[in-house]
Amino acid sequence: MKKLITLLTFICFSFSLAFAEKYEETYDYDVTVEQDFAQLNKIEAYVNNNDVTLEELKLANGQLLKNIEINPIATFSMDELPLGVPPFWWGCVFSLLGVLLVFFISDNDSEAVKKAFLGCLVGGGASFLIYLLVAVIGLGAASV
Amino acid sequence: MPLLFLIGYGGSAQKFYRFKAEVSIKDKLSDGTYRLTMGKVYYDKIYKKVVYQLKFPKKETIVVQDTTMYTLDANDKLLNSSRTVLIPEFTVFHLALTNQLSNYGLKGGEGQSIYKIGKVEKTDKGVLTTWVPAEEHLKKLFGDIKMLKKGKRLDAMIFYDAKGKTVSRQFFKKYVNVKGVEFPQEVTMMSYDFEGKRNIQLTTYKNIEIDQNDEDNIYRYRISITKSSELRK
Repeated sequence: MKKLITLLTFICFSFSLAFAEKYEETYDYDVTVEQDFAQLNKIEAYVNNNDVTLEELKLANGQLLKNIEINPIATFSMDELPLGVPPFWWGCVFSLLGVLLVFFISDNDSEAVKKAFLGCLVGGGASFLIYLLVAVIGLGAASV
Repeated sequence: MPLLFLIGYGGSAQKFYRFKAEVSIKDKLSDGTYRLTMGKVYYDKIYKKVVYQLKFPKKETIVVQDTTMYTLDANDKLLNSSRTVLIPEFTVFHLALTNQLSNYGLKGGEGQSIYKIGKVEKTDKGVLTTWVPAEEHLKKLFGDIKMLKKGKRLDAMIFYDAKGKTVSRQFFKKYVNVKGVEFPQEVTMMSYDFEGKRNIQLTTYKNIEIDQNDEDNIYRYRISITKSSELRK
């Protein structure tokens, strides 16, 4: 089981994310990260000094949370699949492998698996239609 | 996710066995929202458990054991258990304790790794190694991995898919040496979702302790099997 999940995890890193390349950019590591997380750094400092939870922070110093939406769920909580991709897309892009991944990662969450399966059907159907279209065009060209 | 996964860890015998640190994980998600997760992390190589004692966004404990993640509230009441891809042996903690972080655990033993070295270049930024899938049939599934090392330290990695497109980047900065264990205090990961939007995650570690003798109950963190199985029903 562990090996299977590990393999699936690694596949997540390695498979094609079709849109990724055009967003590739040079990342000014030192400057940009600081800019991205400037407000979060202030919140972090406050939490370190006052030992408050998010709920307590809202009451004690709501001003710090102005103009920023903080998710109340910890990073590790498995409310999402790898890379934050919804189950539908895992099924749609990776077909049965995606469904299998959702099945294991979500611990057989029937709703998630159902969505992945729907995605699988949509993806499969779309592929079939494209092949059909290409075949029809090909046959049409051949007969001319 | 703050941690690193890979296949093919060599598992050479090392004297270090415990890792503890204060951790802060900042996420900027592709939907424009943020996450801040703060607390302490404990890892014991022998127990093979990663334990996060969190104080923000709420007080809770997260235990990763085998392929399961348990969430417990501030009173140690088990709230949830779920399957996870966060496998303790493939975390940055295990790799650091076993002296495999410099090659990200890619250098497995003979026949153990799915990657092999494809090319090594000396650049002005450091030594750039391209890892390629070890077997021809694996190239249909896995892409190359580029690894930049500065001295003996892993500095940056780029993961590609099988078609050569960038999938994610990771940066390992601000190394410290604690009792002989090299560890990056800052790990940044950038990944892209299916719409091409970028997620950024910055994990910082402070007050790193190696081979701590006390707090054994946390490293060992026992979870009632009965409660766990009840939760799964």
